[in-house]
Amino acid sequence: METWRLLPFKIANAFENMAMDEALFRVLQEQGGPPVLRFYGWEKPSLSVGYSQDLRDGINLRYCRQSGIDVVRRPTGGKAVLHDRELTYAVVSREKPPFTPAGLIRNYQAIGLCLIRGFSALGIDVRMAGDKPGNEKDVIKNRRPVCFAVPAPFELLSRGRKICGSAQVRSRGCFLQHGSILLEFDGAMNGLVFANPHDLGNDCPGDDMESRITSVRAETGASIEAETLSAVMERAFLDVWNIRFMEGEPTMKEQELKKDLMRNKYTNPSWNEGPFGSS
Amino acid sequence: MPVFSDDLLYSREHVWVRVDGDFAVIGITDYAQEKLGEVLSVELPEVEFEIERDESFGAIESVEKATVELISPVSGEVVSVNEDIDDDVGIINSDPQDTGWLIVVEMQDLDELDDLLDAKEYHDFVLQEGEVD
Repeated sequence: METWRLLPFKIANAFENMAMDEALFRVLQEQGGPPVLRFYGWEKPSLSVGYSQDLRDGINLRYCRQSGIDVVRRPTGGKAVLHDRELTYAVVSREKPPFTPAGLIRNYQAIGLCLIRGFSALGIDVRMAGDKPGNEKDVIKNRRPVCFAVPAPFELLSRGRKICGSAQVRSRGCFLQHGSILLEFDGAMNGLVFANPHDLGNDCPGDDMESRITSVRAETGASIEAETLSAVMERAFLDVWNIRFMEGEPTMKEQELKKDLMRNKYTNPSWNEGPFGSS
Repeated sequence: MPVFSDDLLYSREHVWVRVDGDFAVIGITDYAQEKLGEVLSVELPEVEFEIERDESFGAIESVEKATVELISPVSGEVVSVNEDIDDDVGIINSDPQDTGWLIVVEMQDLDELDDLLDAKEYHDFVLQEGEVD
């Protein structure tokens, strides 16, 4: 039975969350070690944008500034996510079974199976986008700036609506995949952050956000806390992969690297605004 | 089935090198582009940027929402960047080992090439990863 490290649920700000994920990824590249699973939340509504996303594209930065919404650039690909009432997971590992170096989507599948098991424990029927012949139409190339507007291959859908969005970064035989599981979806705030309704998937009259995006609350009617859901998802990872967890805190080296990344990268406008700036 | 060209050297980070005197033309391997899927964007250094062997010199993002760091196989100064990619990033998928090249580096230390793999060795390396026939 393989042992994974488990870093229990923790709430932090946007900059610390990204710095922690990257620190785990870098230290694993350098030193090796078992896979890491961690869960976290966000101390206030925050916007993360993809590694190469243009901040000028469809994001109302003035509203973000006025509303105190922190904006951070992720180390991973994909499009923008407004993090608020959600549980975020991160998996850091070498590319070895159950993960594989071939085909990025196989990691989405491997991790998706665990998340589906967790959703099932809550009574939510979730499947992967484009999971079988006939479901190819689930997947649309996302030219919009919003992650949740459309599902990528093997992202998770409930009743055809996206409930979890994920992204990866890979380097030196290791990967970091993190993703947002929506506990509740705030359509009003999303509508203010992403100023163009079309960007949220409103392609035609009557096609609103709620027809594209769902949440744990929308599916169960219950308000479930992020930490409660993290315990459910931990159990699901154990069951699907027959692993055991070694629970603990980040190592000293990971903590120091996290602080360094926070100071020099994730709170640095040159990183967050990216090559395109924010004007 | 990915192409393993005999006239290239390869790194274990799935980057190829075509040596021309002191200059190294660098790109991602056909195997890597197959793994990556459709490329959406690429970030490359500017001309005159000094890159270090085993350090990141840029990143590629795919439609599958993954950023893959580009790890340099050699150290030296970037002397050219493929501007055709600005017009059509798709050439990284369609012709990764020729017109989809990324940068040209004037190498500092040609001995660094000794650590790279030939086509057969690289093929064997990716076979060990268990993903090609």
